Amino acid sequence: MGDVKGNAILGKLRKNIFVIGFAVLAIALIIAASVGVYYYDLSKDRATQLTQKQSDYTALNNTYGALYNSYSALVTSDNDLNERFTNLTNSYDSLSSNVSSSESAYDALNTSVSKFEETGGPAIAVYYRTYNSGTPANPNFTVNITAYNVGDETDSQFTINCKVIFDGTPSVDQQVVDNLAPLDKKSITWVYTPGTIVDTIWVD
Amino acid sequence: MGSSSSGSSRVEDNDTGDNILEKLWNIKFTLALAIVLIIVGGLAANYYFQSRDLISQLNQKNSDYDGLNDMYNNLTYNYNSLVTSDDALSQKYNDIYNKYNVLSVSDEDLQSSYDNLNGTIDNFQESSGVVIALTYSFYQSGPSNSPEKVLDATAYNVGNKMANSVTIESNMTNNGNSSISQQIFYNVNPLSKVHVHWDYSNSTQLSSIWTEQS
Repeated sequence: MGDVKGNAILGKLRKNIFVIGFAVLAIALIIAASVGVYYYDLSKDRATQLTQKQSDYTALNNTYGALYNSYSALVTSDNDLNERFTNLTNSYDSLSSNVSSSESAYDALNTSVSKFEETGGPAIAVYYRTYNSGTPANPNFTVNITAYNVGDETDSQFTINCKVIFDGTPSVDQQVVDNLAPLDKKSITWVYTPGTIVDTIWVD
Repeated sequence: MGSSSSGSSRVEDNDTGDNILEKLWNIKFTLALAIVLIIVGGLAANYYFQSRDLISQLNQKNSDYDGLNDMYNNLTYNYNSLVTSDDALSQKYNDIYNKYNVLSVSDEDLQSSYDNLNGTIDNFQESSGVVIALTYSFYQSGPSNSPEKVLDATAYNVGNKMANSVTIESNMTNNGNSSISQQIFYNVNPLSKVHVHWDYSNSTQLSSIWTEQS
């Protein structure tokens, strides 16, 4: 009785083995298809992301390249400016030193002039010298007079006077000088007969 | 019996062949399904490896991007710092450039003033050594009930060398008597002067005044 029942089950199994196999394959196919679709979508998604990331990377790389070029140009320009600034600073220091020296020299010269010059108007100082001149056959006696304006203003007009005596007879020579500036001078020469004596030289 | 047995065996063989074909025919859908499964499985495996490869590439690309982004940020910081520093340097350069130009004009003015003054002095000074020019004033001074005479004289070294000594001398007469006044000054430099101030009685006359130098 038991063998008959067992043979019946085996018989059913043998009869349905293809159905069962078909069902298992179908389930496996569904799973494989699902997995396949999942990884297909995932691949598509990742490929999109990769493309996007590659695009972002390229864009960033271009931006970086442009910025790097700007930075390099700025570095070159800044180095150049730095060198020019250093040179200009040295030139300025040198010029500043020159100006200080020039100021010192000018002030010293100006102080000397200020101490030398009389203040409050023109002042005429006189120097003269006499000497024999001419030739042995035709000798002369020369008086050379120089008037110096040692004041601090122009003398609009003054007269150089030279009083001489020859053979007991006095005479006066005069020369009018116009517009003699401060620290300027005027020279005049008179030629006399030998034996002439200079008595007085003055300015009015 | 024998032939009967042999005929029976051929029939069984034909039955067996028919059965295999029949069985294959019966599992044709199963076989087709298996082939489809193999294809789909292969595709699924392909997409699996493809997605694994893509995630690896994506991770690498993300890493590259992040690295580049860090470099970019670093470069941006350096660039901005340099722009700030360069702007400050430009400002300093412009400032000193303007100062230099102003100072340059001052230097030219100063040089011009110095040259003018120096030229004036060169023209004024005698180049032959010590030359002493004299100016004087002889005048009455003091109160009306007690007048006196005063001689002010100044000697100027208008030469280009120092005088070791300068003597100012005057010959005065008073009631027919003559007298000499004199004062010696030492080391009188070019562009410097010496001064005398002498007081006399009211009847004194100036006869002559002169200088001597060495």
